[in-house]
Amino acid sequence: MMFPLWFLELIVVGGLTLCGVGAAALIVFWILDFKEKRIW
Amino acid sequence: MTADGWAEGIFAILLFSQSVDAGRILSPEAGYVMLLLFGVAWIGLGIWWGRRATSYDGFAVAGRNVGLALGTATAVATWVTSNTTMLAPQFALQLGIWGALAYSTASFGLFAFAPLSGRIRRLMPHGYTAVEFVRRRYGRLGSIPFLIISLFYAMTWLISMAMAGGKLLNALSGIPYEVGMTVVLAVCVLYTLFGGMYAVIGTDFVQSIIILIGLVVVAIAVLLHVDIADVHQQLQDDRPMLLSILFPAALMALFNNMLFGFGEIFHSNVWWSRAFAMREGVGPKAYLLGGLLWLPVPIVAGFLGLAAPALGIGVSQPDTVGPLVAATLLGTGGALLVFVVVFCSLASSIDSLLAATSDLVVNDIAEPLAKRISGTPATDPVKRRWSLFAIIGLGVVTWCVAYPNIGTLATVLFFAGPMVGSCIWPIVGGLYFRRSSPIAACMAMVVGTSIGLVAYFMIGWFVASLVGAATSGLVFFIGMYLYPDDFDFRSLSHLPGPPLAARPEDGPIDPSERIGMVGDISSGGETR
Repeated sequence: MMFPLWFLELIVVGGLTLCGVGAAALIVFWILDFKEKRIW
Repeated sequence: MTADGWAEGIFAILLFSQSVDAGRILSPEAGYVMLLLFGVAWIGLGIWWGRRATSYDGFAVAGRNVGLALGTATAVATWVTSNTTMLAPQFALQLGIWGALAYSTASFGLFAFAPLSGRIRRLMPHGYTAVEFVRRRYGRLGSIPFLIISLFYAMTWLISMAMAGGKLLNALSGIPYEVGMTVVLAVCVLYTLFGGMYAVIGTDFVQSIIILIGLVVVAIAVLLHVDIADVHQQLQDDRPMLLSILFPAALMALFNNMLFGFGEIFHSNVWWSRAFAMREGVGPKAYLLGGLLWLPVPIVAGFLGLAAPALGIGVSQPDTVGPLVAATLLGTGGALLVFVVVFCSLASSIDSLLAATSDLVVNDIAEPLAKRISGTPATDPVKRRWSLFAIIGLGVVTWCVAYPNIGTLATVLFFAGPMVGSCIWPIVGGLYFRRSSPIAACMAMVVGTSIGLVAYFMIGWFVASLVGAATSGLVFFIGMYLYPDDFDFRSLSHLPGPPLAARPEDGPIDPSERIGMVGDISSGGETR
C-alpha cells in the first residue's frame, strides 16, 4: 500500500500555503499589536 | 571604499561562489560576508530591544507583557532548529513520506503546551522557571531530579546546536568548523547578554519570518522545475519504500518523535519562560498558532529531499540535500538564502537556551545558595548581574565542549529522550491534580529515566522516549494512589519572598483574580 499522489499533493501544497500564510499572519499580528501599542 | 566599490566587492565574492568545491554551495568569502552582516544585525537589534530591560523582570521574562505577534513568532522560531531545516529533508530521503510526517509531529508538543501555558501564567504570576514550579509543588524530592534532567537536556541541546552551527557553516561554505561554531555562539551570547529575553524574542520575530519565507521561496522554485506527479512517479519506480504506508521504522520514529517533543516542551524552561513572559491570555493562543505554523516546516523541507531524485540531483551527503536542491535550482541567490535560513534556525534556538538556562542557574542554583549563606533573598540588580555571569559562563562551557568536535557528543542529546519523557506526567499532574505527591513525581522521573535508558541501549533510540514516558506515567499514578498529596494551588501565586523592586504596574496580588482559576474549585473535583 502506497501513499496516493493526491496525499502527497495535499501535504506539499497545504504545507507550502500554511508557511506563506503563516509568515503573512505574523506580519499582520505585528501591525495589529503595534496599532494597539501592545507588542511588548 | 565607496558604496559602489563595496557592492562590486560583494558581487565578486558572490560570483566566486559559483566556482567553489563540489558539495559546497557558497565560497568561504561569501559565508564570512553573510556571517558578518547578520551577526552585526542580530547584535544591533539585541542592543536596541535590550534598552527596555531595565529590571530583572524585564531581562528574564521581557516584562511579562509580550503580545500575540511576538509570542507566536518566538514559539515558531525557537522550535525551528537547524535540524528542522537540514535533517527533515534527510529524514524524508531515508524514511519517505512518513519521515517528514514523523518530524512534523513535534508540533503536537506546542499544541499540548498551549493550555498548560495559560495555567502556568495564572498559577504563578511572578514565576521565573520550571524548576521553581517543581520545587514549590513537590519540594526538594521532585526538584533535584528535575533540575538534573533540565540542565542535562539544556546543555546537550546547546552544545549540539553549537556543533551543528560549526558543521553546517563548514558544509555550506567551507568556513572552518572552529570559526563557524565560535562566531554563531559569540553572536548569540552577545545579543542575549545585552538584551535578555527582550532581545531573544525580538530577534525570534525577524528570524521566524526569514525562515518561513525562505522555505516558501525554495519550495516554489522546486515546483517550477518539477511536478509533484513526477516526484511521486520517480519514487514509485525507484524507491517505492519511501511511499509505503506500512513502513515500520518510520512509524516507530513517528511516535517516538512525538513523545520526545512532548517531553522537551513540557519540562524545558525555554518554553516555561515564554509562558511567564506572555501577557495573560496570550500564551494559549500563541502556542496554538505557533504549533500550526511550525507543523508544515518539516513537511516542506522534507519535500526538498523527496524531490532531489526527480530533479536529477545526486546526493552524496544526505544531511545537505536541502541546501543542495536550493543551490542547484536558484544558483547563488538560493545558496545565500539557505545559508541565512540555517543561521536564523541556529541563532533562534541558541539564544533561547542561553536565556532560559541562565534563568535556571540564577533562580534555582545561585539564589537558593546565596539565601542559605546570607539569609536574605537576592535583590533585583544582583540577580541581573548573576544573569550576565551565567550567560557568559554557559557560552564558555559550550564553546569548550564543542571545540574539539567530538562526533559522538552531538548524539548525546538522544539520551535526553527518555529523561524528558519521564517528566511529562509529573508536570501535567503537578499542574492539574492536587493529589500529585512528591514521592510519586520523584519515583516517576527516576524510574522512567532508568527504564527508558535501558530501552535505548537494549532496543534502540526509536523506542526510548516512548518507554520512558509510559513507565513514568505508570509509576506516577501508582505513587499518587498510594501516597496522595493534598496540595493548595493558591500557594503558588504567592511570592516566595518579599517583593523586591517590583514594577509599579505589577500592583499587589488581587485575591479576586483567582476566583476563576481551575485550581481553585473548592471541592468535589480532582483539581480545586
